[in-house]
Amino acid sequence: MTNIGKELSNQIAEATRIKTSKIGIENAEKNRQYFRKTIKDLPKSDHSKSGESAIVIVGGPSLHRKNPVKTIQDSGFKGDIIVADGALGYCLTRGLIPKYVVCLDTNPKRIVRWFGDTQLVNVPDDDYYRRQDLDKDHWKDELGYNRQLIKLVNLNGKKIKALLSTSIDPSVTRRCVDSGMDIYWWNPLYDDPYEPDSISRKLFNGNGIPCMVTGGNVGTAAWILSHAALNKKHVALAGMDLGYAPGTPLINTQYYYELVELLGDKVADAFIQIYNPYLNETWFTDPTYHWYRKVFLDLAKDANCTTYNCTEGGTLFDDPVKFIPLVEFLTKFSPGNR
Amino acid sequence: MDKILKGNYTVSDLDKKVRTPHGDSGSLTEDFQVAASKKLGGSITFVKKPVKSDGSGLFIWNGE
Repeated sequence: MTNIGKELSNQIAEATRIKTSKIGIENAEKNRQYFRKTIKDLPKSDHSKSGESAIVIVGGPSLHRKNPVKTIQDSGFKGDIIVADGALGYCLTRGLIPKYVVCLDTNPKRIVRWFGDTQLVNVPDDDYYRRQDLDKDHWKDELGYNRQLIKLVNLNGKKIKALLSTSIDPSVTRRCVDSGMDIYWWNPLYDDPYEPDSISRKLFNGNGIPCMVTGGNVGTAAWILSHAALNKKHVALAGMDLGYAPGTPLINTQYYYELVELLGDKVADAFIQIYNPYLNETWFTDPTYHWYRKVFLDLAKDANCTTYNCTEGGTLFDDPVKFIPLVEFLTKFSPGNR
Repeated sequence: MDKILKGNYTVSDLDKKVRTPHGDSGSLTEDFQVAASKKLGGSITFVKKPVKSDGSGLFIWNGE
């Protein structure tokens, strides 16, 4: 592991605070007109095997490399499917309609693209989607995929419950509203609500919406919602790589441009190699995802559920997360195996 | 919009920049830390669970 990568990883919490707290609070005020229900109003799971199990699908590179959607469909799994926003399109284009979609990020341009951006006319300068190790069959034609997503989200919105952070850009809220999604709100915890002058406590006092730990990213937030809000006892993760596959060009990693800005021709020093003994492969990660990994493993120790990482790729392994193939989880929790 | 968020870069230009993140002390310099803080980061900060007076932690805080 490089020193620069580790040191940068240790700074991510403060980096996130600087980037997003102010705009998240502003967005909460802009979204206020849409507040009707909160995650306290969500139905709790029943105590059947399928009722207590869920699969959280995230948009990491293993999503298109392993295609867990087909495996889930073939299994007849009846538990809840909870997707991070970045995995919504992948699921819908393959005929899997999730019960829940989770959204957290404040970005005013990128996040709405996961839902199909009705305001998108031209291919934007931002190469965020084209550049990364995503589903290239779709993202190589951004405008065509955007049109397809608009249609699919509009067609299926009424079947989906949106678990939305108050921090999201109002353009995302409007897409969820216009497509008929049933919306349940939550506030992200920006700080410790028991501290004096807490931003989170002020936010709660203003809108009465529960505040939730996020883990820093939407995938971890979706996992927290699955057990802390929906009371799931057995939660599988798919597409939760928190890293990049061996051989992925550095330019195809999420924070490449930012790291080049920081390190120039020493950019490779920021990346951290992680040997995954379950795969016998060495994946790599950047400081941001390395921090997410550490946070997830810390939070998992206190979660009231068993977590199974069924991504079949990535860096998220270690106690107490069980790193198993998706088929093994599905065999245990699908209807024919009660 | 912030150029970082827009992602509108020319990689060949970026590659000309060479940073020296470590000062004489061997740790990241303050300027570099400030620059890193502006460029990296996740969606939302605060990742720990708040701990109540009885020592128990919470994933979701309802104002109690």
